[in-house]
Amino acid sequence: MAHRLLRDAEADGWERSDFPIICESCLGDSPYVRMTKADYDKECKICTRPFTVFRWRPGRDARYKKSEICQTCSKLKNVCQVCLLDLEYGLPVQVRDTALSINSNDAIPKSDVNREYFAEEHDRRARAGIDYESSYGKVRPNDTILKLQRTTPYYKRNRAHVCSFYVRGQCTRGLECPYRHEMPVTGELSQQNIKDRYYGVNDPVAMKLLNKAGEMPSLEPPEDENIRTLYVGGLDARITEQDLRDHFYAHGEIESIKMVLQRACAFVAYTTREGAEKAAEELANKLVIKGLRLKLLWGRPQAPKPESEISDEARQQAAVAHSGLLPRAVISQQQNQPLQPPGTHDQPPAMPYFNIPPQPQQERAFYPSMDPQRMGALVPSQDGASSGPSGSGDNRSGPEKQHQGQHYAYPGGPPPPQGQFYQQYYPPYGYMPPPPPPYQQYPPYPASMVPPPPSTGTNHQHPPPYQSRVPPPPTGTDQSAYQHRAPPGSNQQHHPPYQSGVPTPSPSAPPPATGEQHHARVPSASGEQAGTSQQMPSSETDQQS
Amino acid sequence: MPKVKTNRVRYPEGWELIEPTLNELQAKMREAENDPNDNKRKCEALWPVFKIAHQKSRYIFDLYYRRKEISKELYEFCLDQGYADRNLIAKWKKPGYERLCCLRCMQPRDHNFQTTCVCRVPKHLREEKVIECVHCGCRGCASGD
Repeated sequence: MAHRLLRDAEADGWERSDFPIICESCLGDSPYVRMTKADYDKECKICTRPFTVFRWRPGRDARYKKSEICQTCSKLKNVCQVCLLDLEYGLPVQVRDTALSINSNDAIPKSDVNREYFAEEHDRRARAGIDYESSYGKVRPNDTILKLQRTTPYYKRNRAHVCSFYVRGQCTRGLECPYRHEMPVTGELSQQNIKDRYYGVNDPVAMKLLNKAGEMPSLEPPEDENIRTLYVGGLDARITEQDLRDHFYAHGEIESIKMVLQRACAFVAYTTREGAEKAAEELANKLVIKGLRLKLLWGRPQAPKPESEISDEARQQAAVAHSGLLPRAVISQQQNQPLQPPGTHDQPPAMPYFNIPPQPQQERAFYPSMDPQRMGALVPSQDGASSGPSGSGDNRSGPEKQHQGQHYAYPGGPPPPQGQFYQQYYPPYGYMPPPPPPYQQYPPYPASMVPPPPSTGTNHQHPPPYQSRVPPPPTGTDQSAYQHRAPPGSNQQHHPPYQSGVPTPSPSAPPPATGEQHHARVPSASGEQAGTSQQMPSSETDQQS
Repeated sequence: MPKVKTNRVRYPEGWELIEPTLNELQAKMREAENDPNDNKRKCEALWPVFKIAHQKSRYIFDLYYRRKEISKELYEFCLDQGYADRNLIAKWKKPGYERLCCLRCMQPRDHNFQTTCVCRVPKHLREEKVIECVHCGCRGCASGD
């Protein structure tokens, strides 16, 4: 038993070692580490045998850490002696075992004498050099585990513990208190047990991670069949084009690789669509080059660089507009200027990048007084380019489409059939629609003013609020606003950034929709045109629910 | 019964001048020893003892070496009677240790990695600015600051 005195250091089986088996995170970020070694200082938390305890400080802002389990136990499960996470992947034992389908739990006894005997036998065999069945080196990493693994060390776990006196409000040490003065994070994850974590049974962190793994989104191919480029984000200076080539060549013939270092991204274009799809499928969440986890998304067929500046700017301003920081008048003026030059050519200017998180649903309070153009400000008209494609479709869009600047709220003038026309152009909602001109033509909001025909689900999200909001403002001003809008508008140029941002993530669409429904209700309740406007929200809810 | 020889204490001259202060300090020390250490840490409860011991020694050291107001005889008398710590004063005479808080903080044998206590590190070289050393509660006894 471990609880007797040590008589013979060699034969007794108490463990001695020279250096701990620890992971990078537990060792710390500092290259200078002083470690104390104490033989037989504590008993292993799992097998209760005395072992050599190492104690060190992993970095300047860290607490002191010491080894908690003995080396025998850590070798049996291939885990770090301190944090009990896997040495290779940094994952809890349960996650690693389920991902790699290893089950060694039966072999390891868990009760008292059995456990000690097993541990001692194992130790003896290991010391004698007999190769025990260590399956950890031989297992090939599979997809799941590559997706889940931790690629960089995580030093937050080395922080000091939370000051329990502070939690009660009684910490008298004040500034010199070495513990963290923060409120502790409570929840299901705080009830962890070292034995459960070690044996891989009933571990809350592992369950959470496995659930998340099950729901990780896969990279959906875009609807537009012409897109054969993949966007790679999160680049670093160390990653070269050759690295990218090496990783991507296996899935198909690479047409071109364009690296945009200033934006830390790259675009890999394949000659075939199948190649791109295959690459996306295989590399979606597992792309790790030189230790850096990279993000993989579908790209846009346009050349990224010239547009990127514009779209970036436009996006930024859009973001500012949407967060309500700048008055709309200012923004509309700001956006007019930079967007003018790109608007002069037929190319739709702003292609947002997919790596930029999609714009949050913008709540636009669509009152005419908020938009200077609605109030009659004249904006220099754009060239006939925007009016060209209008011939292809919507008459009602004629005057509206040619607006410059922004109209967020359109009077609900356009009759439904024409709105339907709009909708048809909408399906490639988050992606580059094949014909660029229609893109220019359709500021999303006017189209969305129309009651949504049940054409596309994504469009539902946008139309409802606008519709209900628009009717309440008196239609009289709308007509006059229309007339003022004879000059073509380039507002659509900044719309694209929003457009693609907003509808693309389908998970985010429903919540904003529900939020907007609330908004929809309020004006409709107060609007004088309650009759018509109320019908619309109710019909929308029918469709939506 | 055999005659028991006791040594009566004979106070040298000048004692009356320093006696009241020394009595006060003694009283403080007794208080520190006896106070109920309720909300303090185990080590923190001992800090006042070290502080007052330092204070007493400092008083006598200052009187003799700095202000030169007492005679050597009186000084030696105080040291013999235990009103000041001889070893601590010996350190104060050395350069760099003029403000030493206690003898433990300076002893490398008492620490991990054979270093001194953190209170001996000057403030501009330390990372944490506010510390209280665990032995004596010292906040910094380097000679510079």
